Amino acid sequence: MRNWIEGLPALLAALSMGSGIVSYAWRGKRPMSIPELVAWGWLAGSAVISLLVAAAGLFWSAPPPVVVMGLAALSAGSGFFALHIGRKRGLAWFPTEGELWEKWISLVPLAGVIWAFALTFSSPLLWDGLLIWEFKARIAFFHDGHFPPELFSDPTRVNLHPGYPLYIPASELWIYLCSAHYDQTTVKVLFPPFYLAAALLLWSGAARVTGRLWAGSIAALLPIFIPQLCPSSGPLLDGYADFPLAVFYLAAVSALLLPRDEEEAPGQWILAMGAAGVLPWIKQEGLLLWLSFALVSCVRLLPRHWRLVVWTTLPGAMVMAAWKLTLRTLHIPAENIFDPINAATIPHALERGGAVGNYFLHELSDTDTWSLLWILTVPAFVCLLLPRAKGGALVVATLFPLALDFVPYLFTRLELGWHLQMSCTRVVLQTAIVAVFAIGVALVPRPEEQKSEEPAVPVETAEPVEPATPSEPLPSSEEQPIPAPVRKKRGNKPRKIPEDDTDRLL
Amino acid sequence: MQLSLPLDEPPSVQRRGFIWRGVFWGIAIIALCATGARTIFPTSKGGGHLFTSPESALEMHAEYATQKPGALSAFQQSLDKLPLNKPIKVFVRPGDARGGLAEQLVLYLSWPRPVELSAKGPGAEGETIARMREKYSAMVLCGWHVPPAVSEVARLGPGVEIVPFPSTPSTPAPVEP
Repeated sequence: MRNWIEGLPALLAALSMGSGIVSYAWRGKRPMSIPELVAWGWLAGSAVISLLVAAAGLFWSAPPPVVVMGLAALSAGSGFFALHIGRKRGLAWFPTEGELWEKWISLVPLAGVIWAFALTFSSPLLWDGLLIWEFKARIAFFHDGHFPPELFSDPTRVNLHPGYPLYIPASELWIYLCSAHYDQTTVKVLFPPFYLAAALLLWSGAARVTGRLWAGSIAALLPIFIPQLCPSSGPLLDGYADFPLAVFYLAAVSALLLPRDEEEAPGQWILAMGAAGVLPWIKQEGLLLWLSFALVSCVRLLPRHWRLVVWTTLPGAMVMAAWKLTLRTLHIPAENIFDPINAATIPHALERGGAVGNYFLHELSDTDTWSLLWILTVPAFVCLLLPRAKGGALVVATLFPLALDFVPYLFTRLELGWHLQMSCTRVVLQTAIVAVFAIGVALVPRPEEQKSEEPAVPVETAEPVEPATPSEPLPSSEEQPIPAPVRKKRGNKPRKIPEDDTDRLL
Repeated sequence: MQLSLPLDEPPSVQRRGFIWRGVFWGIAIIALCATGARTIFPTSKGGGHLFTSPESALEMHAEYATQKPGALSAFQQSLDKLPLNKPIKVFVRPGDARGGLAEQLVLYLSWPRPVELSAKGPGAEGETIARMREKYSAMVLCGWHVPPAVSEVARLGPGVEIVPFPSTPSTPAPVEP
């Protein structure tokens, strides 16, 4: 209990900060639901706070109380702004309409969330969670909140991966600074909120895509029964970065794929853009997920909305460039774990393809690790690829990261079997929550599938006015009845609103 | 075999397609939950023992590496005594999980002291103890035997030993009259 009391102010500050940001970004007729606000608020707040704490720790020599008070004031202001927006626009409890029984069933996935919070202190931080991530937070805490340059430039500590991004260390440092106390147990309060965010995003995302609350509830419940995602047997509470990375990837993909009307679209793009931008800030593999997100946005938006593709992928590129630049100024030693990709190394890499492929297949079909998750993605993909299902982007979002994860193993300089054994499960985990989302969406045909013959929204059509022919006399200015170049035509065949016709709103 | 739903068919046929889909997913989801539960619940961590110490993670890792309860404080004290200006040499036997963890703990606990790692045993690189005494502040042996030439050894547990090399006071230069 003491650990929760010590860690809670840091968590609430992040949630408050993120709620304000998300409330500002969300624009639409439909009010944001409270569960969505909590999930997005936590993700946005933890990302912004980690960026600010890392920036202060690297470039600003302010004393810790100044950093804590400054960020706390920002968080409070942001929280009040969220309350103001919530009162003005209204907040809903459910992301979509549903029967009463569906609403009651929505409470069932909370069991997993309660379980995750209850088990927080049942195990300590494990290996990488301690030695790669918490180590940097510890050193920074004992240096008054500053990351000393030697932490990154020490050539004898390459094993502790000094070049890894600082999302987790800076978030842990934020907890240490807020509690003014070094405690490796308290710092574990950082991780259960990611399970909460995953459950809420799965629930709201699947419910909104399918239009059924019960489908969302099943999607949110599934992680409890998947050993690697379950709070009791998975790495969620071990202090690793893979689960948070998977949740951010789910957030980015779900925001990109949700159905939308014209008014709410810009908010969705901004949320997707923000979540994708954080991916390279969490872990090195975030780069691969960011590339996958870029491909998904291409599949979803091209060829009509190429500018949106640029906008949604830009923040990730900027975060990566900024971190690489920072590392260059810190003179970080090279790790040299991978061979360069060139004509000399490709033949050797191709020879390994079979072994790596076999290992991946074995991993994905291992029911002790994944239950039937990856086996059931096959029928889910079939459902998503049906005509009018419009689920191709979600299939790409699940499969492409797995294909990309394949590549580093082909070029690794480490002993291949050992490298696969040490990291393959964690790498697959980064896509697993999106696979759960795919199954949740495939459970029930989307409203567009069911009502494919009916118009989604009947609207009045607008038809350009035919220009006057030269033979006709031009009307005088007094006789011009229509000032605009279009004229509304009533009673004709209705048409659908183009689903993606949104880039002009940005 | 036609994979697509019969959307152009009459509504009754469509409904039948959706019902079959529902039946399939119902069975699939139950199978997933049952398979997962079979793995998860017998090995569940439960909420019995809670880790509440401020250095709970370090304590657990130090105990695993040294196979000795409460080894963390001895580990930390042995490293804290070492000077900051000389590196620590760590010898780890390849493939030794406990030794590998002990090596990582040395990297963690000895910061900001520089650390050199070696997968070969002491003396394998042709360095004598006398030479190492000049070059390093200590030698940490993870899974290697202590060379007979050293006298002072801090044994943290079976397989993890720290051999400090205290700097000998240099003889003062004679003062010129």
